Amino acid sequence: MVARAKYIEKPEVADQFKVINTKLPGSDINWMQQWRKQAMEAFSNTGIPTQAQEEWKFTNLKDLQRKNFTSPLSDIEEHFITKDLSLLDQLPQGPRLVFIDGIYQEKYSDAVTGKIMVYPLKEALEKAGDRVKQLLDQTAQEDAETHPFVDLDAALMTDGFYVHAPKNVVADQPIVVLYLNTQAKAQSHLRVLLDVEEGADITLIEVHKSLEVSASFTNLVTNTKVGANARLRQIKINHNTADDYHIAMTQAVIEKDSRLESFNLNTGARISRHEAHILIQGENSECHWNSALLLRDQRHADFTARVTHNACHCLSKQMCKTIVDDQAKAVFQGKTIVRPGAQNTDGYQLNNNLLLSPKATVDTKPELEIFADDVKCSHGATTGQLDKDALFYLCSRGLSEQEARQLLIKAFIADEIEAVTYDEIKPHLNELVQEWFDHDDNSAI
Amino acid sequence: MLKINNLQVKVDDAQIIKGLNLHVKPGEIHAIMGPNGSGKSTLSYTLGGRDGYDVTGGDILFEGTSILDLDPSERAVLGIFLGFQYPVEIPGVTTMTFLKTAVNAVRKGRGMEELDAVNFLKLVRQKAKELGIEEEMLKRSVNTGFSGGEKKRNEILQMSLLEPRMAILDETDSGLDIDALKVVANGVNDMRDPDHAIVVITHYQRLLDYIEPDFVHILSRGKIVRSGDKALAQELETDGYDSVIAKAA
Repeated sequence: MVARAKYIEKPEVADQFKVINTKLPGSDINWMQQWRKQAMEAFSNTGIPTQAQEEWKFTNLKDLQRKNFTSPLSDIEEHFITKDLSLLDQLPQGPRLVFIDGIYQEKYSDAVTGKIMVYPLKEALEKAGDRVKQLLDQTAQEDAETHPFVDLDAALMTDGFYVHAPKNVVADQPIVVLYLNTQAKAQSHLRVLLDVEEGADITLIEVHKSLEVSASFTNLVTNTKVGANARLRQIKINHNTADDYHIAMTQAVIEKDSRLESFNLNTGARISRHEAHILIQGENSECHWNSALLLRDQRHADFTARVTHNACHCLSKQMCKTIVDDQAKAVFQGKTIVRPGAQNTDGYQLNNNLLLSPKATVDTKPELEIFADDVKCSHGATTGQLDKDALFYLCSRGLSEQEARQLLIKAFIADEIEAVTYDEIKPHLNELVQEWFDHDDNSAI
Repeated sequence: MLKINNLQVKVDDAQIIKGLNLHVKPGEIHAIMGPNGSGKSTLSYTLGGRDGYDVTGGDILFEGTSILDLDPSERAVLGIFLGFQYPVEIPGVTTMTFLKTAVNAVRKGRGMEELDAVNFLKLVRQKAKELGIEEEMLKRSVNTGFSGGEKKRNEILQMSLLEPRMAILDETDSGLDIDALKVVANGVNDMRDPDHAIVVITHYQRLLDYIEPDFVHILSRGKIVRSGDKALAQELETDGYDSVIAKAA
């Protein structure tokens, strides 16, 4: 048997890099130039992962490999409508950043820098080069593994931002970021750097939105450092089109007594992948990494998370609930690693799937790797349909079958939204779930 | 009000109801009693219109019209209420949301104006108070983690809010302590008037100490084998099902 190739080449990327590398942020900085070049070489040596790789077994990137995207830094035509920016008005108040097709838009942004410093990438390199460099190099990798999309992002990152929350600063407003994709075949490679120092506390809300014409490719890498006794909360909302490719990777390291919380509400895309490597480096910390996937048509969403416990008395929870209709496909890959000595770890993974159509698919792979002997870890996955007893009960009280189904589906998702600790965003999340129902034209719901 | 004529019902290819007749007039309370497996729950689910309960013969008329083609929600709108033996737990839906959705679905179906939040709250508070239901219970998910008594109180609260013409209570009394039983009985007795009818399906005679039925029917192997007044329930209590059913045969 011939071994299946683990990677497929995407050679045009290197050509695009040659053309634009002198225009990319940091091209005037030596170390940055070197760093990008190395990353480009690393990516050229691999290419795009195939399903022969265990981590990519359930997400097929062949189409992404075949597709040609326009070069990053192409001119932006301002043909988006005010409606798309007004999305920001539905979100809580706070410093805001707008990116269009991967480029920071100062005129639509309001990144007021107070106690918390929020800089777009270029400015960050000028004002906080050392810290930025440190964070750019940070990974939460096991051994010497590579991640082609992180390399690709390093080579081509067109923009991004850096948040610095100094010691003991507690933000009174969330930072709100809108990434708007407006052009067909546009590609954006973005980098988010979150530097939360000891005792600081910040919340970040990120919204990815594509115009209906968009068949774009977004590659986003987030490097996060949460200091001792600090807290970072992230809420990420994906409104992609059915033709979009969205690949996101978070690399987070959290110190002792800290808390990292993330929630992703995702309605899928051609391919949407929300991946994370989280390393718990200090005692008594908590990591909550949750997701709700609402998928229909032929959309695909992949939630992959790996949490490594490298300290005692920490808790991690990965919860993913999916509702899959039509011929859509959801993927859950959760892995909890407990390293030797990480005693009294409390690790928990749960993936509940609700299948609404006979052709809907879910691939689920919860995994535990435990090398300590005094831990409490559990994982589980369920896949099912709506409870017939509950449906009949509701209908016998006068609800139509459609109303009853909606109520039960919303209830299924409700506790996931309830678990979000940033209360101000909950009404918006509930509205989005309702919108998802309302946009349903032809399914059985 | 309700006429069941020669009803035959199959569940998973097994004939459970085999020619059942029952006529209920407005103002009457009927008790249907029977041993386990006699078809009591099948009868109540069939009246409620549940999928999988196939009527293979006979008819069910409500106020002169067949309801066999109506789905469960249409039957609820018509004024048929089914009290469940095992009320279903629905995590994630608060009792308050459930009650409001149900009340307004039924009102809409009946051509009445839907209640706004304020008026609904007023109504539900008043009804809950009458039934000794704590407001805290209304904030919890429907039946989730409720005790047996709380679940049945919740059934009676729903009955009271949905204002049915006819209530069918399927073993609503089973497994209740005496206080909860009284709540159920009071709910039924409050509904009792010349316009409403009630069918109580039960295994135990005890409920009938608190609800005085006009008629008592014995159900056995899918048929009503004996009918009488409340004296029949007394006879059951003294002699047991086997003896009473044997006499009927």
